[in-house]
Amino acid sequence: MFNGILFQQSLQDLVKGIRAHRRDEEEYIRSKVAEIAEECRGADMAKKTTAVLKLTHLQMMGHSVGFASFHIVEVMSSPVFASKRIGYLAAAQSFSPTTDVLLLTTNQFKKDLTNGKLQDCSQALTCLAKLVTEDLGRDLEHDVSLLLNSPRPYIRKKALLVLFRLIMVHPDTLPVVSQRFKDRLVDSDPGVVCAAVTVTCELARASPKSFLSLAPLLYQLLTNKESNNWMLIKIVKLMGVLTPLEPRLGKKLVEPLTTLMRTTRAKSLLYECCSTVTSGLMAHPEAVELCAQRLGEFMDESDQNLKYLGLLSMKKLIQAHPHLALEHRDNILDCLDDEDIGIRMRALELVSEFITKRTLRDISRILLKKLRKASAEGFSTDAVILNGQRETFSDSTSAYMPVTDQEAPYRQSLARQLLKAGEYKRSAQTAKSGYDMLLTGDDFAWYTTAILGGLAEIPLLSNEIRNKIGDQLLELTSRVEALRPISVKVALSLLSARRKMSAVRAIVDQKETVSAEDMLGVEENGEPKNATESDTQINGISKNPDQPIGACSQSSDEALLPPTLAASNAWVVGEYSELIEDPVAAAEILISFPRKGLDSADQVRILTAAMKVYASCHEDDASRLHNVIRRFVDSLVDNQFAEVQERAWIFKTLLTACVEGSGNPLAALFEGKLIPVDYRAQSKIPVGGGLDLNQPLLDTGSDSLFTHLLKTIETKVDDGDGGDDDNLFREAVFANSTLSFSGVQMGSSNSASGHGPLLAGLPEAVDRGNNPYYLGATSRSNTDAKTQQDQLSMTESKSPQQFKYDIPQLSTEAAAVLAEESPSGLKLSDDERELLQSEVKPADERLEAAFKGAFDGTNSKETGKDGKRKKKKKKKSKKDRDSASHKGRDGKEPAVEVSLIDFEDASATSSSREEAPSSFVCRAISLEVLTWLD
Amino acid sequence: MVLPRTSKMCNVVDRADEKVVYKRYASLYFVACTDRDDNELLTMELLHMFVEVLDSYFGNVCELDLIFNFTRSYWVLDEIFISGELQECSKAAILAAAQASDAAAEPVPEFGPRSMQPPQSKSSARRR
Repeated sequence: MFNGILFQQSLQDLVKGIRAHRRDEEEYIRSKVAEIAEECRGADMAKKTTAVLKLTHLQMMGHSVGFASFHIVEVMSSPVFASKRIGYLAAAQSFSPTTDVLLLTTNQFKKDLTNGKLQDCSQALTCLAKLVTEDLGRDLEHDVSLLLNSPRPYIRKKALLVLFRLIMVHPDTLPVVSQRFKDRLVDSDPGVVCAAVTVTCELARASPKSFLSLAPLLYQLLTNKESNNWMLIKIVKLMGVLTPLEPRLGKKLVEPLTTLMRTTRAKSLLYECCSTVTSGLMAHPEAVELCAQRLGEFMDESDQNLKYLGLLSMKKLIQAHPHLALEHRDNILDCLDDEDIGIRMRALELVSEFITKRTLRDISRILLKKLRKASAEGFSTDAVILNGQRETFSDSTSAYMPVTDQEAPYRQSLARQLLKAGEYKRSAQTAKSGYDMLLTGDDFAWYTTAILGGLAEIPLLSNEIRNKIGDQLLELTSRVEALRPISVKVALSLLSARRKMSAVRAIVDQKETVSAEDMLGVEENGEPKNATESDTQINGISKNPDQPIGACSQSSDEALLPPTLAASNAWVVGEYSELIEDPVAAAEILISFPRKGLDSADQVRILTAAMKVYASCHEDDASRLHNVIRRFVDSLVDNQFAEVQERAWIFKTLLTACVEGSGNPLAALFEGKLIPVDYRAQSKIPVGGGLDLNQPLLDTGSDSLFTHLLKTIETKVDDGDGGDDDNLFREAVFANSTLSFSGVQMGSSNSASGHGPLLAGLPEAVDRGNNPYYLGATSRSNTDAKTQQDQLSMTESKSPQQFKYDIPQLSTEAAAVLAEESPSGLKLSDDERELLQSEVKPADERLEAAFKGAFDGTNSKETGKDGKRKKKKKKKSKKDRDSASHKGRDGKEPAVEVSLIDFEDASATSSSREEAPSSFVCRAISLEVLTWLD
Repeated sequence: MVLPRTSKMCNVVDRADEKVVYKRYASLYFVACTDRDDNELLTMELLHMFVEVLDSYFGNVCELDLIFNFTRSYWVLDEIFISGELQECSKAAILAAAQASDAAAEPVPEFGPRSMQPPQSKSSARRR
């Protein structure tokens, strides 16, 4: 149409065409591309130019135009500027460093750079800046550097910036041009100086050292009144890079910078000054003061950008000068309410900087409140109803992204921040390990009730956070004795899920008003109330709490305690069950906890906890509970998880042994208190005189011990009478303990106590049964564990009178002696702590393996590592026995009793306390082995 | 990334090792991607300057101007930035340079009516 090009579609036609073919855009474009390709092949330059123009448009829309690279080069080399310009633009847009025709452009660039035409040169430079590769850089550096001396500032300026790109891809250029470069910093044209400063600034970021020599020159520019803000920003930034290398420069800079910060009205310049202060002038109080003041103003601004940047800069400042944070505390906390998650995250980072022992509670309370709010907002799918003021926000965003997803990182960070105080600090020096933020018992009580309790009830937290909460509850409770009554209470109220909000609130409110001394007293007063509350809850009567319903309580009804948390809580309740005021209610809470969705380990924990509670309660309570517990255990006997089944069977057998009305026989098993012991303590006890650890305990002749044992059992099985309840009970204990604890202790006892051949065979045989490496070895290994247990029980019932159930004072004594070695019973060492976490599983598995490993051989968790652990354990238990019997002699007790005692002890532990954290024996063994191996 | 943000949010978004700084003019977003340690406020001022220059170049710039004359807006942008760095900070100088370039290309294949295109600025493509 124009220029005599008939029938060629113009760019406008193309764009219109694309818009008219919305439905089949792809196809339309494909046909057009074919058309354009045809046009490109023609000889008419104008036609070609239009084709390239259209291609550039298509390229911008995201279509590949690689096929036309050569034609673009053709258009670039057109003598007509209008075409050339389009060609250069197309090249700049569509070529990449790997485009092969790039080699062809070198000459074209050279020609245009040197032909003296302003516009050609300008276009070539602009395009070169985009395309430059190392080859191009090497070939063209000379031409470009000559342009630095061009009479036209316009070209000098462009050449400078292009040179920067050349240097980046081809660093050898720098030495050649450095002098000319320096000259440009004092150019007569301010635009050129500005460009030179920009380039210097960018280059200095790569290697600041080589630019220190330019500092005086730059300083001059900085103090020059005529410099414009753009350039000042660059210089200030450059100074920020240079000052860390040269402290004296910082000293000189303080004055001009503070002047700038006081006088300038440009926020960007001010911000840049602040950045420079935070990076290089931290040692100069006046600058820092002023900077903090200015950043504080930033945070006060209603402009979101300034707020964001203020927070960003403030963080660096506060890291070096924490005292500054106090002044801006409220400001920063306000930012946590901001609508922009970016601002909130930055503010949160800042908050973590100024938490101290003194401010921990206040700030944690605020954070928890924010978290509650954030969760409530996230939980409700309809943010509009919940919070009217967010109406517009959710309207405009919901179309793009669900609110929940955006807010999740903020909630997790908040929770993580809250949990920081409860992290045990490990340190190489034992004295330095501990909790930084929590000091008094009051602190711990507060942390557990307010923070852990509070967090546990917040919905929408990630599993990672929930595991952390559970771990901390467990860890804190076992480390800090004073905390236990409170933890138990918190755990109980959390377990009673539907009413947990009000219960925890009650405790929290109570806690916050009482001081450390009278806390326990108040606790007791508050207890009955809690218990009744729990009772009503158990009975399913969900009466509406009178307290005002916060946003959270709406959601908490639907959100039960997550499984991992439930398991940790159950453990705490069970382990410290003697601290429970109303065991009946506690047991019922455990029993009625919904098992849906819990995996086998969690269910086992809850079951075990219920048993522990039962075992620890008084006679009256026990008789009240007996049937409830029985029913509970019965219901689990056919549980879908094998491990739960196993456990339920053990407990069922135990319970059968308990005669109703005759007090609480299980309680006897817990009389001895087991105290955590430093892992090094055991090794300090010398081996008793005359003991040879390497000597075999008994001689079985040529038979393997296990075969020997099985033979013995077989002979006895037939005449076993099944026993009365009393016997059954003992049998269960016996089977349990021997199988899980290898029964090595019995070695010394058997000769004296006259158990006869059966017991003589037992220890090592069982030991082997324990050891995964022996699993497949015997023909009997496939028998059902229960059968095995029954067999053992039945045979054992022959000599029931041999067993007494007094719990050994001696063992406790030994523990106490051991405990003395460690600085305090509360402080577990790092290794111990790790084991505390890691042992939970293996301990369970050991028991499991003891019963079960022998029959299925496919216990998937019996990995090599566990196997090794077991091997170690075997060695250790020998040693253990030695030290115990050594003690026994010192304690002037007959060796027989010592061994019995040890045996009983083990049985108590294994039957109801098999979870490693609670079990002194388990822990002592494995810890000891670990240290010993070292 | 930028579109779901409301006017009450700040104009900086972190993205991997870079920052996205944007400015919204009516239905047009101008987006720039910058290094982490670049000055966000400066970037926003530059975006604003770009818009102002476009405004005086086209005379009350609108979306259609940009779409039809995408080459021209590129050329204007080229006058402000080279290789991602600020080249010229004087609006008048930019305008003059752009017009000089146009003048040199007077018999440019200049075509009639303009058409539409998605409302995203191209500035992001041009900065590093």
